[in-house]
Amino acid sequence: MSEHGDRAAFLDRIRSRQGRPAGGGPHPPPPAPDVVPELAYRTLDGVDHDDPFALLPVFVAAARAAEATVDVVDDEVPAELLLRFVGDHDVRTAVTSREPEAVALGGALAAAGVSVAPYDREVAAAADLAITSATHGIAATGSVVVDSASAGSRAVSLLPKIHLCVLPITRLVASHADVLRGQQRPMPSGRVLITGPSRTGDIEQRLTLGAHGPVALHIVVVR
Amino acid sequence: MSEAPDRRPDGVERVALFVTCVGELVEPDVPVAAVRVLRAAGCDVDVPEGQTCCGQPAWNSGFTADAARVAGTSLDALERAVADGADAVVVPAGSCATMIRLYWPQLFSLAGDEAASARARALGERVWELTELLDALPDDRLGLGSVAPCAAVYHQSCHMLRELHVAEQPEALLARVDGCDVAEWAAADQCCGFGGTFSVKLPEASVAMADEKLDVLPDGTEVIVGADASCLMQLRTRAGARGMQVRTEHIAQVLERALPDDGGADT
Amino acid sequence: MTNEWPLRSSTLRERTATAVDDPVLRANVGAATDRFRTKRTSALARLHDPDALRSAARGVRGDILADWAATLELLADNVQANGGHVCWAPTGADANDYIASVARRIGASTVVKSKSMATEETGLNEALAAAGCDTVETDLGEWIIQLAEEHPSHIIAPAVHKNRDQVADTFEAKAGMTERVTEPTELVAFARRELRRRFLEADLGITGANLGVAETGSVVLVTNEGNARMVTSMPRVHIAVMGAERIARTWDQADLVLGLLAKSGTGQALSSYTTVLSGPRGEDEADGPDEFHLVILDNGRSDIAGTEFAEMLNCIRCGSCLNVCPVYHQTGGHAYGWVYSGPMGAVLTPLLASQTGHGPGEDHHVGELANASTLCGACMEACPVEIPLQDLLLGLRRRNAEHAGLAERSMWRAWAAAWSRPGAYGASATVATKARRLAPLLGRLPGGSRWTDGRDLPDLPARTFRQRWDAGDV
Ligand code: SF4
Repeated sequence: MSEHGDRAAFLDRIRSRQGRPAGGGPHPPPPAPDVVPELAYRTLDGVDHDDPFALLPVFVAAARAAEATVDVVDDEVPAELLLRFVGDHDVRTAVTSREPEAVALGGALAAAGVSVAPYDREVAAAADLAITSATHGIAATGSVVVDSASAGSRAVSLLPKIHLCVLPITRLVASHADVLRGQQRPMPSGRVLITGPSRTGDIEQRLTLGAHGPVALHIVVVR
Repeated sequence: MSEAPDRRPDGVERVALFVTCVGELVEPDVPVAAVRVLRAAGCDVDVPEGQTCCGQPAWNSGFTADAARVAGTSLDALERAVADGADAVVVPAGSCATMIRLYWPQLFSLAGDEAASARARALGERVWELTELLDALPDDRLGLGSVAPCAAVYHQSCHMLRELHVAEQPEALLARVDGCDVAEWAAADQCCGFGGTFSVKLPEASVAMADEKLDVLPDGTEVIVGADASCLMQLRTRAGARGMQVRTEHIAQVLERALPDDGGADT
Repeated sequence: MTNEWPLRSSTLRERTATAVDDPVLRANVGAATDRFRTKRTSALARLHDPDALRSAARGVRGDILADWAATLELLADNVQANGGHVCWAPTGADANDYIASVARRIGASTVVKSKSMATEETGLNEALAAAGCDTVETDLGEWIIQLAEEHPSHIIAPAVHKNRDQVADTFEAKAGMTERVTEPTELVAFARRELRRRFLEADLGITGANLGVAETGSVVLVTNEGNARMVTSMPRVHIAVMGAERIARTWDQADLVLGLLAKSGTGQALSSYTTVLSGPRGEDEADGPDEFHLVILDNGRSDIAGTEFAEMLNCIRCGSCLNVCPVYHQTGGHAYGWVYSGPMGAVLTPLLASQTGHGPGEDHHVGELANASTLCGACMEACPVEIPLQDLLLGLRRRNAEHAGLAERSMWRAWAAAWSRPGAYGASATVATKARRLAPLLGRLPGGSRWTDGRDLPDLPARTFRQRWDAGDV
């Protein structure tokens, strides 16, 4: 921890000028709202924000709109689903994050013949599949939240070709406000709201999945 | 964003017309039509002496003092008309109406004349863009008949749409005119590329902007209708240079042609 | 590269004329902006009352910057409490020097960057090259233009002006692509392979910052490709370069701003990755940088505070105003000549330029950017923080007018003298109609003869309105 440059001079310069923007034009700025409003998503209309089962269909639709795929399973991930997934995506190697849900699923995959290892940078960079577990699912946007502190790394959900994320339904919240607002120190060093797979539209605006991160995001919601 | 104030036009009987410099110089048929339509709607129309231009050309170029000098002349004239009993000031051009209603207070204030700024603010309450007023009047005050059938589109000018928020009114009026068939135009709310001195400072971009609108005119369009003569001039002169067979017409002129022969209202 | 910015060597008209003349560029820019615009509209339509949210966001941004210094101080304290380092950089050169010194200390040879406009402002890549580093841009669009040695044409889609064949040409010529592919998916796969290698070997990762959140000392990065995540998890050291104004005090504020950002820019509910970074690698974590540095960059920003242009500091660089701007739509970003383009560029570039030695300099070319607008107001209507860009452009034009040449000043003075006197106004109108040509009037405007290229002259009427009114013919 260190500080470089002249903090006092830097801030004095700002202090000598800061203030509310000068008005005078025909579009004067409004005062700041007393309470910062939350975005109100129409898809959440009439949905009980505290009932994850009510949030589930909203989440599934939003995640699919963001090009993720979603399965909803009852208890643990059924073996046949796993086998199908492994077959469909030609998964031979996988890495897991540290969460118990991810490790458990890794065990099941290993039993299905996939070579499963705990996260390591080089291994992950060559792996077909990442298995993680989300700290939250965000219904309004179809996002999953992965923390470096619980996952044990920042890039486990990023380096492999496919990302499989386990989301226990009780972790569903309505909106990003429920995740972002109220955060306090100490923070995980890295927390990421993941909304669909990695993508780019940089070449002729053509949506291409799997730019630098996973080409596919598969979310398994466990009821 | 500021919305158009909720003003009650029912009592509007005496109106003062702000001709605008383009109306005075280039397109006198437009203010003439505006006068006739307003009269048909039962208004007693005065054209206050002493008015010139709203000052917009200089204001948009950054020349505040010069703009204020010109605008001040028009402010005096319009204020006199209100003092003499005009219920409303009517402007047959969205961008001049915007200039007066939104920018005059700032203009005079920047020019150091707070008194004029306050006067402009008060005057602004009474300023109406033409179609804004006509549409707000009870329908039975303005009888609209028919015109010779024509395939039209409507150009939504920027200031009118985004600053005055006068969006639906012109087409609502045109819908009352038999024979004026207004087609959907994908580029209706796109800027025409005029922008005052923009049109000569960056002529290539200006022309390209007009082209983009003209390129997507529906097949068979005969006339582009609008509420700002300067936008129409830009579109017309570009269309002409391209050899396109399309006319432009200010909405006041369409409405004028649609007035029943007896002059409309039976007052 | 900053020295080569076209702003220094050409006029706005030259640049717009060149752009308008390039059919590939216009088609690409047109298609991209149309698509962003459509997606934005539908993304916002999924919210209740988005206009009220934009207005609230404007109020919130104003509130944050009303308390700018204290918020920065809290941010800096919390970054350090999280184990990070802070550098206060009054100028771009200060930022570059600091970053180069870190690079030298750790012996960095490969530097990976994720898109950051602040570092384009400062010309960081040249400074790193001078420090012996091989710097790779990793946002696909940025990488393409880095290889092609061009400038970004859109603030969120830097290579929007290039089509697939041009990209393939660049990859063949500059990135060692031996088997030519032109399908976007294949081009992306090529870039993924090449850049994956660079991420893994890089010693230093540099990003910008979409937002610094003071109450937890966090930096938020928003990307779709995942490159910023690579840059902040693979190398040993991460440096985030943040424009000093890109801050929120609380997560409530950040939540509102971030919620609007992607919807306004690309029209997504959220971008693929909204990453919140709070310091270096945590205990027990298998990756992430050992060192985290936050460089807080002023570079002319504080000079904007307290002026009539202060609201420009509220900009969150979403790109929405570019996408709706009818001028940008025709010209793309290069016409603006510097890092920033579209309406926000037309305002910000002159503001930064006149106040730092590291912007485009103080020549006459800079201010004229304010003319790259018809003042149509589409930008303010699309801006998630409702910056009244048209009013700021007018303000810049007023500033330009103070420095205008004698000819232009005299022209307006003569105009005002005539048109502020009804008698003279009537006379000039009459003269003009007698001439029956607009040419004499147009000719008196600056560059007036420029009307006739591409447009007919309007016919003038035989009588003015006033003549008809006075004659009782109305
Ligand atoms: S000015 Fe507004 S619309 Fe333009 S980039 Fe900045 S925040 Fe986005």
